This record gives sequence, C-alpha cells and structure tokens, in this order.
Amino acid sequence: MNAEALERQFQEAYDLYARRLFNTAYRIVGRSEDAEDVLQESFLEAFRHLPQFEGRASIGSWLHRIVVNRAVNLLRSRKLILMDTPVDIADDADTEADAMDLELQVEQIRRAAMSLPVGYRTVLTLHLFEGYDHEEIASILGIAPVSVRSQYHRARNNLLRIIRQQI
Amino acid sequence: MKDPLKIFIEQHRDDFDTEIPPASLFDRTASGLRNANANHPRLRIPVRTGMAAAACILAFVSYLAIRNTATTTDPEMASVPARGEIQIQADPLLQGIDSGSAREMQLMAREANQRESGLVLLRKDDPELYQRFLSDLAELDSVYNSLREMLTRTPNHQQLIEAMEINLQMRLQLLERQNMVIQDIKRNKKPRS
Repeated sequence: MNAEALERQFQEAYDLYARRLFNTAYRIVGRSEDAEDVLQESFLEAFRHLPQFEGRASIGSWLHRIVVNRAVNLLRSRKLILMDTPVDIADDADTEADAMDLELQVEQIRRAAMSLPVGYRTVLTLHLFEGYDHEEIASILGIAPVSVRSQYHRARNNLLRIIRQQI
Repeated sequence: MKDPLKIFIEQHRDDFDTEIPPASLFDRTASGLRNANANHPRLRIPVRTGMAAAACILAFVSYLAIRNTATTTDPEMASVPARGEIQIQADPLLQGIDSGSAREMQLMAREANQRESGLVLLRKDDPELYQRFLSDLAELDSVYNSLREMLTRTPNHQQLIEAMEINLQMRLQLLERQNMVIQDIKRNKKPRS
C-alpha cells in the first residue's frame, strides 16, 4: 500500500471511529487531554502495524482494543491501577442496589459515572458502555475475574447511590 | 432478569458520547503517521486483497440473497428492524457471531443510526431529495436483510458477516455524503453578507 492509500484508509477510519473511541478513552482516563493522547497514539500504533494486522479482525474492533489497552496503561503509569481484591460476591449481590425504581437519565448517569473512583469507573465503563464481559475485562486489567465481578457490583451500587443523591 | 441500568444504557448508548475530539487532533495524528512513514522507508505494507475479495463476496452473496428473497418464509424475518434502526445486540440471528465482529457491527450500526437522524432535517425542506436519499438507503437495507436472513440457512457465517460489515461501511459512507449534501444546501441557503 502506498502512502496515499494508507492516508486515505487512515482518514476513513478516523472519520468512522474517532468520536466513539475518543469517548471510550475519556470515560476511562477521565480527562480530555489524556483522551486525545490515547486516541492519537492508538491510531498511530494501529496504522504503523497494519502489516501485522492483515485483516485478522475488523479495523474498528482492533482500534477499539488498542484504545482500551492504552487508556488502561495510562492509568497504570500513573499508579491508578486496579487492586486485585476479591470480595464475597454473594454478600455483594445481596446488597445490590436496585435500579427499578429510578427514573434514569443520560446526563445523570454520565455525571455519576465520571465521579466514581477510577477503578470502579474503568470496570463499569468496560462492561456497561463498551460491552466487555467480566472475563475479557479481567484479561484487559490483568486481575482475576472474581475481582472484576466484585468491583463491578460495587461500582454499580456506588453509581446508583450517587444518582439517588442527585435526585 | 436483565439489569434496567444496562438496558437503559444500551438503548441510549449514542447519547452518552458527548465528548468531541478537537479538530486539530486529526491533523496531528495524520502528521505523525506521515513522519512515521518517512522515518521507516523500509516499512512494507503488503497489498491487501481483503477489500477486493470482500467486494466479490458481497456481490456474490447479494446476488444469491436477492435471488432467494422471494422464497423466504423464515418467521424470524418478521423481527427485521425497521430501516434506519439497525439493531445488532438485540438481533436474535446475530447472537452467535464472534464478539469482535459483533462489537464492530454494533459500533457501525450506532453510528449509522446517528447519521441517519441528520437526514430528518431534509424531510420538510426538500421532501423529494429526502425520498431519494431514503431510496438509496433502502437498497442497502434490502441487501443487509437478505444477508441476515441467509444466516439461518448457511453453515459458514464468516463470509456473510464480512459482507454485512461491508454493507454497514457502505451505509456509513453513503450517509456521510448525504449529510454533506445537506450541509451544502444549508450553506447555500444562508444569505450572503
């Protein structure tokens, strides 16, 4: 592929995915400036390694995974790493907050999610917004699936608690 | 029972993407890519035949799909979403596909639904053009739904899924151009100072 074709492919991918990936990065790292860095580095990494990619997956899902990994690595580099602290899931599930009685609103959830501690926010984002299951999140974060489950339940409960306080 | 919080977020997923990357980010990234290529002249990117192959697959399966559409009796086709509201996660025929493809299709479907909402501006201002735009999209819908229906009858889903992904990409490109036309029309309508 010549430089012109590569740039054209880059532009198409950027037009298609940049906004969504920027929001993915932002929800994990929590700052626009960091999300910009993550997005820029992710696109550069993806297009520098296009030969290794060779269409094994769609470029969108490949880019998405790079963005998630880079955003998580940024948190790690700032010592904002998730703790591998399994708790008793049964106990956690017993106290799981119910969202049935809440009149949910986008802006309310968005603000509440961004106010969560970084570890909770990351697990919540990866599961609820990015669609990863607990095993995939465990692999991304390098922690045990049981920790992901407990972190997710706590994150969700905290999120609903914050929303209730806002009402 | 599914979590109402999860259901709500899935239903309003696009509305959560409120942050917009700065326009300068594209230039910075493109510049970085150019510099990287200049610094690595030996970087050899093999010619990808994937797109061409995929186009052939698309043409072939589209032909088969259209040929078979008339005899379709699958009751699940009743759940084909209305045009413009493409569903991936909720589509029962797409439950078994690999997670990478599902996520990619979900991303594209959301983007397409979002871009299509921009066409509504035209409905009142230029109904004729609006109908033409819808007609172009309907052709893509027809192929998409035929490919989708073939999933129930074809053991090898990989090629069909690839063709469905290409269909969604084509839809995004078409919608982008249609929205550009709308922007041009709006610009030309503004009184010149």
